[in-house]
Amino acid sequence: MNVQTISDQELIRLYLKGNDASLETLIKRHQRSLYTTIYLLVRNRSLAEDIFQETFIKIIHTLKNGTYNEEGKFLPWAARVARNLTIDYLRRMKRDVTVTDSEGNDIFNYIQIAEESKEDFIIKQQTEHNIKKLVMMLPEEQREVLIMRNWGNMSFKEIADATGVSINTALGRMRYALSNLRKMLDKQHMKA
Amino acid sequence: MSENYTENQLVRLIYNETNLAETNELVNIMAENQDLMHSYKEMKSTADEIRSIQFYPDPTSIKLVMEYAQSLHETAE
Repeated sequence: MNVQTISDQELIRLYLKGNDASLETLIKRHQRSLYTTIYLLVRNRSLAEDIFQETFIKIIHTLKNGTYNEEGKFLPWAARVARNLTIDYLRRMKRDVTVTDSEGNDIFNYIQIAEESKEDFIIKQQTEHNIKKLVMMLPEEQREVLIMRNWGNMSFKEIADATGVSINTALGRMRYALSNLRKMLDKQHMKA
Repeated sequence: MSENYTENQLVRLIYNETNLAETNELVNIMAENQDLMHSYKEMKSTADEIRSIQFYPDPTSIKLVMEYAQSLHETAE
């Protein structure tokens, strides 16, 4: 059986029957989206690792308790769990979400460099690094919508529900986020 | 229809949240409004650029979660 073709629901079902490998497949399938969501929200590598682990521990408990019922929509649900835990962490630490952190630069170790020249790789590194920095400069409300839609795979309706705003507010925040990013990117290109 | 409302709908279009009728309507509106077409192209290219951002957790994090899951079986047994 090719595990890549198995749905999330099926992986969950197999895990609940005692197949831990299914859980590992589920985690690995969504690690990039969930970790990116968490890391861009907290902007701290070590804290992101803790929240990532806690997110899956909470997911495991929810699955085991039989209270998971988001059929076919595992990632948006998991992203919501991650977001809520992130907010709890930040509140507990009485930490201002706008504090910046220089950690995370080692992400480029993970970028696939196969079939890319060294020069292409360096350019790609710089571009992605710049975009990452710019995303982190966005106002919190815009950054949150951007992160939840792009990496959490949540619909604008789901984001609106999760953040307690109307769908038009969520859409407006995304529009401003994209517009602000475009302005910052253009400014950078002009400087280069 | 206000400009802001239409631009919000363009955001939905970029993220594939519009149905066929809405998509057709927006395409027709953009065909007659170059400013909206420009906004759409800018937002779309920005959205495409930011999708390149990705991070992965340390493999140790996954290992720890799996060890935790395993420990639940042992506790149950």
